Amino acid sequence: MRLKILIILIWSALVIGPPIIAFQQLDFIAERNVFETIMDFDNRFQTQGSMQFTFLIASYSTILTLILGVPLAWNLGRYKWKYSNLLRSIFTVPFVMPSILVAMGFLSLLDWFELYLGINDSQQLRLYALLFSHAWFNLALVIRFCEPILSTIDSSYEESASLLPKGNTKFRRLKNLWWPLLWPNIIASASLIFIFSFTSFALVKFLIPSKRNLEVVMSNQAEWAGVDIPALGRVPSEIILASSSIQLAVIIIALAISSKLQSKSFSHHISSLDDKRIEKSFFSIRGIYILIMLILIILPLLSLISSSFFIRNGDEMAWSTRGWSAAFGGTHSPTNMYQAVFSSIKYAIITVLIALPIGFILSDTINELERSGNTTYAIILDVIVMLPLALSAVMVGLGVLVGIIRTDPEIVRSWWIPIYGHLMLTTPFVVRVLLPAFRNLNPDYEMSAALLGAGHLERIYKIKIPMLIPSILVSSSLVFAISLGEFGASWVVLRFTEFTTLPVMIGDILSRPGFDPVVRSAANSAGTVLLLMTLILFMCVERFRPVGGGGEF
Amino acid sequence: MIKIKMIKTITLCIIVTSSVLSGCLRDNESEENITLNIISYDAFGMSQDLLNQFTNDTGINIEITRSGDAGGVLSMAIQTKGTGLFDLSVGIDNSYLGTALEADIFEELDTNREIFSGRALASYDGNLAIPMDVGSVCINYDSTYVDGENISIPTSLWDFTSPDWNGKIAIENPRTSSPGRAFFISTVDYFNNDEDELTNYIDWWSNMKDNDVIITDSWTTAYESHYSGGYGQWGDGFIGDAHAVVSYCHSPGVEAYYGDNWTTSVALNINGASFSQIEYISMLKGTDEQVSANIFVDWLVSNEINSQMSTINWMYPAIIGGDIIEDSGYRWHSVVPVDCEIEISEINDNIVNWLDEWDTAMV
Repeated sequence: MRLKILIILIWSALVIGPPIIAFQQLDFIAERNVFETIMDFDNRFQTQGSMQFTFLIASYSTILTLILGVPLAWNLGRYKWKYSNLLRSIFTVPFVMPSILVAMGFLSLLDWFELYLGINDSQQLRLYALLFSHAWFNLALVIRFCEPILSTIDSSYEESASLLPKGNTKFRRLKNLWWPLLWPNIIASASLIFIFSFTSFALVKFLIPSKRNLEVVMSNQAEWAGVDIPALGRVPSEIILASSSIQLAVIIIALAISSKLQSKSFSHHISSLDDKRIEKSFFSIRGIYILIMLILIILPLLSLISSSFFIRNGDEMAWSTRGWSAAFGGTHSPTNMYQAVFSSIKYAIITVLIALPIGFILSDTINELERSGNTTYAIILDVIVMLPLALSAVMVGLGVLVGIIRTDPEIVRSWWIPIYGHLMLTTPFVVRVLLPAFRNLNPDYEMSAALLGAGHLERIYKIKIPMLIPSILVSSSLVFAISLGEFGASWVVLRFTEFTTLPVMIGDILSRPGFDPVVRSAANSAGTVLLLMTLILFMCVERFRPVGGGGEF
Repeated sequence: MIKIKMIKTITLCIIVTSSVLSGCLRDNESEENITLNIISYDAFGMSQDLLNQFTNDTGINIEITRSGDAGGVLSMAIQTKGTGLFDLSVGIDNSYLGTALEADIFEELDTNREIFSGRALASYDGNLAIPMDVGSVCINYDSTYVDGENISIPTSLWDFTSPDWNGKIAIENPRTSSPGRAFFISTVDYFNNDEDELTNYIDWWSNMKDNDVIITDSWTTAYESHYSGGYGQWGDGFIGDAHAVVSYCHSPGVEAYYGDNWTTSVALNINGASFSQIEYISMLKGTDEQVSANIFVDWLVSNEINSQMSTINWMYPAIIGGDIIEDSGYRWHSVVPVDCEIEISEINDNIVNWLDEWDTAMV
């Protein structure tokens, strides 16, 4: 128990520490307080319109994702399709795709649109592309939150409801049966979609470069923020302080709503763990709908893969594998693809080995707090667990930089430093997968074991772990995939070390001028390898996901 | 019982795997070779092959950490001042040099200054910052637009405030981009020294804002996404709504080099409306590797390496007699303009006010 508390305290310190250090440093340099800076946002070129844009994009993206996602979750949850595991993998894999790859995929898709449909690339089209890319990215959240309930509710419930006056039409059943069952999960997923769209960085930066959301504003100011030369550091520090404060406040509220609704969803869970889906063929209206959605999901990925094989030759584009040769040979990057893949896999394995036990302990603790009636403490711990997803990479990067470099500069070069970023970003997902599984565990088993004299550790080994194996496997794959594709935190910290991962290699290539036609093709080739690795991993592990018992991711 | 054995086996495997992996990732502590830690900007084009060649010749390993653009390098150098984390900085330019000198982050190098061209020593001729390459920042335009629409080639920056260029020029934000900052400084000097004494740079920028100038956060966005005359048209995400862009005066040359001597991009030669950017390499205070740092700098500015700067780093060499290569129209399409003349001390003293005024003008 003491070990558990110690781990929770260390985790909380690791989450909260760097942003506090960064906040103090920024506050030291800034001359105006947060409110003054916020009030002046629209009077400064660097921040003008960014706040409205951030809220609008996050809101529209959330609505669009729900419009596309809820019907898809319904059809995947209520009906059993051939190759359903493969379908589920493809529909949910976008969530673990590095956003830089998604941006590249959508940009090349816009080019195909222009080439074959004659639709001119315009700011308006790019705005729609941004909204669709957010929906594409976050579709998995709606599926993961709603599908488990839909797939395990016995069809006899619907049959019984249809015999009653309040359920004798489709609309009445929707209103009186499905909506009360599903709304906490839909709103909880909407909260998270809002957060991810609110903090979107690469997609906004690349798809609609003429606009700035708060994350882009902060990234633009990161260079001089916190630097102890007032003439250079003052304005950036004030802007980052204000932007991150708005972001933090909005996201903590959204996380608290999401956390509260997820525990509410558990309280009226009437599903079983059996598969209650109805067999359905692709040769039906629903089947055609699924296939259309499938094409929409695959298009940006295919587009990215195809663009890795095209290269400028004089004044036309020609088929070529020179980009692939450059990526594998390392001629246009500090490392070659073999080394980058090897480094990525090593970091991903180490991240799994550390994030999994921490996430297990955190989930177990939140679950115990909920069961013992300490709901408030459970929500606080849940929000702390999810907080790293809400913090700007700038704040974390600055905190790490100021905190570590000032303490012991050599530590920054250590091979293990990048793991901090990976852990911060992946552990919340372990909790999101394991927590629902913990909630579904029947507490009687553990109580009986305790009565029979089993100690705390023995109960974990003999009761909890064996019953949670499928969820542990799923969360491991999720952590592995996210770690493979992790870019932001690694970009801030990993560049100090010689261990370049695949996403950092892509970032490195993309940050070079593209006069040489091979450069962009090499980045697309490296992106294709990352995409295929993630996709294969997901497909392999999806078979272990129990129907309805896999949790929210 | 079987399950407990299985769990024990898994735990053992985890411990063994993690030990093996941590061993794989750990730095080779027994390595006796000297390693020089260099901080550079993202686009520094020194290839791994060349660095390996240096290591083979001298036994000195090179590790490069990239930190955004020239401003990012300076910011990192200031934040890590005296820590010894980095031995050398690469890419701080003359628009930032005044700040760097004031921050007192450099140590003197032993480099012989006589080998450098007058252009390379124009802003600073001391040994705290050694010029490694030079290049002018100016406006490039797409000749297909100018010729196709029968528009006069601009001869003054004011021409860009005409309806012909409404929403058709992309300029980088001087607060977030090094070329943007360099060009911005040239506009200050250009309007301070032109014949019209009633207007200054802020009037021009205000007029440009009214003429829907496209301001981007980076050179990449301006050049790749917006500029119709550059290589961006062959890549993903091309918009092509700008027919003029702020880039280097030799960018058309690089376009031609990779385009089989073909490009529609032309560098605009307006007297005083360009900035001669000089990029420096400097030894950072706190380093214990003074000897190795001097060896690396001497190698970088040697005739063998520095004369290749036009293909290594897409800039002009800094040494006397150095020029960009002639292959595929590289030199023919490059322009050497009459740059603005502004002291680094003047930049350092005024840049904060200039940028604040620019902020206000652009809202």
